[in-house]
Amino acid sequence: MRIPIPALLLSFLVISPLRGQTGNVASQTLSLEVKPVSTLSVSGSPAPFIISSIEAGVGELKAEDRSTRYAITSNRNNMKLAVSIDAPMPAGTKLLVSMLSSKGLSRGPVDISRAAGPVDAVTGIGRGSDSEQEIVYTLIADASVGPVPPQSRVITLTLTD
Amino acid sequence: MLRILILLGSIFLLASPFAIAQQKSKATQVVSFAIHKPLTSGTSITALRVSVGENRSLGRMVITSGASTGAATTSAAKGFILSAEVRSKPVLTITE
Repeated sequence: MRIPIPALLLSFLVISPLRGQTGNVASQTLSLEVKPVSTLSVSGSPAPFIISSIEAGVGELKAEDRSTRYAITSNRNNMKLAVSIDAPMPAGTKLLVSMLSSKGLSRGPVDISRAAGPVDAVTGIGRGSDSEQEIVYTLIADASVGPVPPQSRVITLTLTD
Repeated sequence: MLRILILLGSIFLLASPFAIAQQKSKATQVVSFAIHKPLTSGTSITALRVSVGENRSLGRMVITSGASTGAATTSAAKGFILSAEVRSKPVLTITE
Protein backbone atom coordinates (compact mmCIF):
# COMPACT_ATOMS: atom_id res chain seq x y z
CA MET A 1 0.00 0.00 0.00
CA ARG A 2 1.45 3.35 -0.96
CA ILE A 3 0.55 6.40 1.20
CA PRO A 4 0.72 9.76 -0.59
CA ILE A 5 3.34 12.18 0.73
CA PRO A 6 0.81 15.00 1.40
CA ALA A 7 -1.17 12.61 3.58
CA LEU A 8 1.95 11.75 5.53
CA LEU A 9 2.77 15.43 6.12
CA LEU A 10 -0.79 16.15 7.23
CA SER A 11 -0.79 13.31 9.73
CA PHE A 12 2.53 14.54 11.13
CA LEU A 13 1.18 18.03 11.72
CA VAL A 14 -1.84 16.61 13.51
CA ILE A 15 0.27 14.71 16.02
CA SER A 16 3.01 17.31 16.32
CA PRO A 17 3.24 19.24 19.61
CA LEU A 18 3.69 22.39 17.58
CA ARG A 19 0.19 22.30 16.29
CA GLY A 20 -0.99 24.41 19.27
CA GLN A 21 1.28 27.29 18.32
CA THR A 22 0.28 27.65 14.76
CA GLY A 23 -2.58 30.01 15.60
CA ASN A 24 -2.41 33.60 16.77
CA VAL A 25 -1.57 32.67 20.39
CA ALA A 26 1.71 31.23 21.59
CA SER A 27 3.04 30.52 25.02
CA GLN A 28 6.45 30.11 26.55
CA THR A 29 7.60 28.99 29.95
CA LEU A 30 10.01 31.26 31.75
CA SER A 31 11.97 29.76 34.58
CA LEU A 32 13.56 32.00 37.16
CA GLU A 33 15.37 31.70 40.42
CA VAL A 34 17.28 34.02 42.72
CA LYS A 35 19.89 32.17 44.68
CA PRO A 36 21.56 33.46 47.84
CA VAL A 37 23.99 36.14 46.75
CA SER A 38 26.73 37.61 48.88
CA THR A 39 29.50 39.77 47.49
CA LEU A 40 32.31 41.55 49.25
CA SER A 41 35.05 43.79 47.96
CA VAL A 42 37.73 45.98 49.48
CA SER A 43 39.33 49.12 48.11
CA GLY A 44 42.89 47.85 48.45
CA SER A 45 45.44 47.34 51.19
CA PRO A 46 46.45 49.82 53.87
CA ALA A 47 49.73 51.69 53.70
CA PRO A 48 52.60 50.10 55.62
CA PHE A 49 52.65 50.77 59.34
CA ILE A 50 56.02 52.16 60.30
CA ILE A 51 56.40 52.94 63.96
CA SER A 52 59.52 54.97 64.52
CA SER A 53 58.72 57.45 67.22
CA ILE A 54 57.25 57.55 70.67
CA GLU A 55 56.60 60.19 73.24
CA ALA A 56 58.72 59.89 76.35
CA GLY A 57 56.88 58.06 79.09
CA VAL A 58 54.26 56.47 76.81
CA GLY A 59 53.82 52.77 77.46
CA GLU A 60 52.94 51.59 73.98
CA LEU A 61 53.64 52.32 70.34
CA LYS A 62 50.57 52.83 68.22
CA ALA A 63 49.80 53.39 64.54
CA GLU A 64 46.41 53.59 62.83
CA ASP A 65 45.21 53.35 59.23
CA ARG A 66 41.80 54.45 57.97
CA SER A 67 42.57 54.53 54.27
CA THR A 68 40.64 51.49 53.03
CA ARG A 69 36.93 50.77 52.55
CA TYR A 70 34.77 47.75 51.94
CA ALA A 71 31.49 47.16 50.13
CA ILE A 72 29.01 44.33 50.49
CA THR A 73 25.80 43.21 48.82
CA SER A 74 23.65 40.38 50.08
CA ASN A 75 20.08 39.22 49.71
CA ARG A 76 20.23 37.26 52.93
CA ASN A 77 19.46 38.42 56.43
CA ASN A 78 21.63 38.20 59.53
CA MET A 79 24.94 37.94 57.72
CA LYS A 80 28.23 38.70 59.38
CA LEU A 81 31.69 39.87 58.43
CA ALA A 82 34.51 37.81 59.87
CA VAL A 83 38.23 38.52 59.76
CA SER A 84 41.25 36.25 60.03
CA ILE A 85 45.02 36.58 59.71
CA ASP A 86 47.37 34.21 57.91
CA ALA A 87 50.08 34.22 60.58
CA PRO A 88 50.33 35.45 64.16
CA MET A 89 51.67 38.93 64.85
CA PRO A 90 55.11 39.17 66.45
CA ALA A 91 55.31 38.84 70.23
CA GLY A 92 54.55 42.09 71.99
CA THR A 93 52.45 43.46 69.15
CA LYS A 94 48.72 43.51 68.46
CA LEU A 95 46.71 44.17 65.33
CA LEU A 96 43.17 45.41 65.79
CA VAL A 97 40.60 45.87 63.06
CA SER A 98 37.36 47.80 63.24
CA MET A 99 34.84 47.70 60.41
CA LEU A 100 32.15 50.33 60.38
CA SER A 101 28.70 49.31 59.13
CA SER A 102 25.35 50.90 58.37
CA LYS A 103 23.61 47.56 57.82
CA GLY A 104 24.85 45.62 60.81
CA LEU A 105 26.36 45.89 64.25
CA SER A 106 30.07 46.67 64.32
CA ARG A 107 31.94 44.95 67.12
CA GLY A 108 34.40 47.86 67.27
CA PRO A 109 38.13 47.18 67.43
CA VAL A 110 38.65 43.42 67.28
CA ASP A 111 41.98 41.84 68.13
CA ILE A 112 43.03 39.64 65.21
CA SER A 113 46.68 39.24 66.25
CA ARG A 114 46.34 35.48 66.48
CA ALA A 115 43.04 34.95 64.70
CA ALA A 116 43.86 31.90 62.62
CA GLY A 117 40.11 31.31 62.46
CA PRO A 118 37.54 33.98 61.57
CA VAL A 119 36.67 36.53 64.25
CA ASP A 120 33.40 38.43 63.93
CA ALA A 121 33.85 42.12 63.15
CA VAL A 122 30.28 42.97 62.06
CA THR A 123 27.17 40.93 62.87
CA GLY A 124 23.46 41.10 62.08
CA ILE A 125 23.92 42.48 58.59
CA GLY A 126 20.59 42.89 56.84
CA ARG A 127 19.67 42.53 53.20
CA GLY A 128 20.83 45.10 50.70
CA SER A 129 24.08 46.80 49.93
CA ASP A 130 26.50 48.73 52.06
CA SER A 131 29.37 50.54 50.43
CA GLU A 132 32.23 52.88 51.30
CA GLN A 133 32.43 51.56 54.83
CA GLU A 134 35.62 52.35 56.66
CA ILE A 135 38.15 49.72 57.76
CA VAL A 136 40.34 50.85 60.63
CA TYR A 137 43.55 48.97 61.38
CA THR A 138 45.47 49.69 64.57
CA LEU A 139 48.93 48.36 65.25
CA ILE A 140 49.94 48.40 68.91
CA ALA A 141 53.31 47.39 70.29
CA ASP A 142 54.61 47.36 73.82
CA ALA A 143 57.20 50.04 74.38
CA SER A 144 59.56 47.29 75.47
CA VAL A 145 59.30 45.38 72.20
CA GLY A 146 62.44 45.30 70.12
CA PRO A 147 62.70 46.51 66.54
CA VAL A 148 60.56 44.50 64.11
CA PRO A 149 61.86 44.21 60.55
CA PRO A 150 59.43 45.01 57.71
CA GLN A 151 56.92 42.20 57.21
CA SER A 152 53.35 41.62 56.06
CA ARG A 153 50.25 39.71 56.99
CA VAL A 154 47.33 38.72 54.76
CA ILE A 155 43.99 39.61 56.27
CA THR A 156 41.00 37.68 54.95
CA LEU A 157 37.54 39.19 55.24
CA THR A 158 34.60 36.84 54.82
CA LEU A 159 30.93 37.68 54.43
CA THR A 160 29.01 34.68 55.72
CA ASP A 161 25.90 33.60 57.59
CA MET B 1 13.32 14.29 13.56
CA LEU B 2 11.34 17.40 14.39
CA ARG B 3 10.21 15.85 17.67
CA ILE B 4 13.78 15.12 18.59
CA LEU B 5 14.72 18.72 17.87
CA ILE B 6 11.82 19.98 19.98
CA LEU B 7 12.79 17.64 22.80
CA LEU B 8 16.40 18.80 22.68
CA GLY B 9 15.26 22.43 22.69
CA SER B 10 13.07 21.80 25.71
CA ILE B 11 15.92 20.18 27.59
CA PHE B 12 18.15 23.14 26.79
CA LEU B 13 15.58 25.63 28.07
CA LEU B 14 15.02 23.67 31.26
CA ALA B 15 18.73 23.43 31.85
CA SER B 16 19.33 27.17 31.64
CA PRO B 17 16.75 29.00 33.73
CA PHE B 18 17.30 32.59 34.80
CA ALA B 19 19.38 32.23 37.92
CA ILE B 20 21.78 34.44 39.83
CA ALA B 21 24.62 32.32 41.02
CA GLN B 22 26.66 32.58 44.18
CA GLN B 23 29.40 35.17 43.87
CA LYS B 24 32.62 35.87 45.68
CA SER B 25 32.10 36.65 49.35
CA LYS B 26 35.74 36.83 50.39
CA ALA B 27 38.34 39.54 50.07
CA THR B 28 41.89 39.92 51.31
CA GLN B 29 44.05 42.81 52.37
CA VAL B 30 47.76 42.90 53.08
CA VAL B 31 48.91 44.68 56.21
CA SER B 32 52.60 45.57 56.25
CA PHE B 33 54.39 46.86 59.26
CA ALA B 34 57.74 47.52 60.85
CA ILE B 35 58.80 48.88 64.19
CA HIS B 36 61.91 50.95 64.55
CA LYS B 37 63.14 51.14 68.06
CA PRO B 38 62.32 54.61 69.40
CA LEU B 39 65.25 56.72 70.27
CA THR B 40 66.00 57.77 73.76
CA SER B 41 67.94 60.76 74.88
CA GLY B 42 71.62 60.30 74.35
CA THR B 43 71.17 57.76 71.54
CA SER B 44 73.61 57.97 68.69
CA ILE B 45 72.35 57.33 65.15
CA THR B 46 74.65 55.96 62.56
CA ALA B 47 74.11 55.79 58.80
CA LEU B 48 70.43 56.68 58.82
CA ARG B 49 68.47 59.21 56.83
CA VAL B 50 67.01 61.50 59.44
CA SER B 51 64.36 64.19 59.04
CA VAL B 52 64.47 66.99 61.56
CA GLY B 53 63.19 70.51 61.78
CA GLU B 54 65.46 72.83 63.65
CA ASN B 55 68.92 72.94 65.12
CA ARG B 56 70.35 70.70 62.46
CA SER B 57 73.65 70.36 60.84
CA LEU B 58 74.97 67.72 58.53
CA GLY B 59 77.98 65.79 59.53
CA ARG B 60 77.52 66.03 63.25
CA MET B 61 73.80 66.44 63.85
CA VAL B 62 72.73 67.66 67.22
CA ILE B 63 69.03 67.82 67.99
CA THR B 64 68.37 69.94 70.99
CA SER B 65 64.59 70.28 70.97
CA GLY B 66 61.29 69.54 69.25
CA ALA B 67 62.36 67.51 66.26
CA SER B 68 59.65 67.80 63.61
CA THR B 69 58.17 65.20 61.31
CA GLY B 70 56.82 65.16 57.78
CA ALA B 71 55.85 68.41 56.12
CA ALA B 72 57.86 70.68 58.33
CA THR B 73 61.05 69.01 57.25
CA THR B 74 63.12 70.93 54.73
CA SER B 75 65.07 69.33 51.95
CA ALA B 76 68.28 70.52 53.45
CA ALA B 77 67.56 68.43 56.49
CA LYS B 78 67.08 65.27 54.48
CA GLY B 79 70.65 64.19 54.33
CA PHE B 80 72.36 60.92 54.62
CA ILE B 81 74.32 61.46 57.73
CA LEU B 82 76.91 59.36 59.41
CA SER B 83 76.07 60.16 62.95
CA ALA B 84 73.69 62.15 65.05
CA GLU B 85 73.00 62.56 68.65
CA VAL B 86 69.72 63.12 70.44
CA ARG B 87 70.25 65.29 73.43
CA SER B 88 66.79 66.19 74.66
CA LYS B 89 63.29 65.43 73.47
CA PRO B 90 63.52 61.95 71.98
CA VAL B 91 60.91 62.34 69.22
CA LEU B 92 62.17 61.64 65.76
CA THR B 93 60.95 60.36 62.42
CA ILE B 94 63.58 58.22 60.85
CA THR B 95 63.43 56.72 57.38
CA GLU B 96 66.07 54.24 56.45
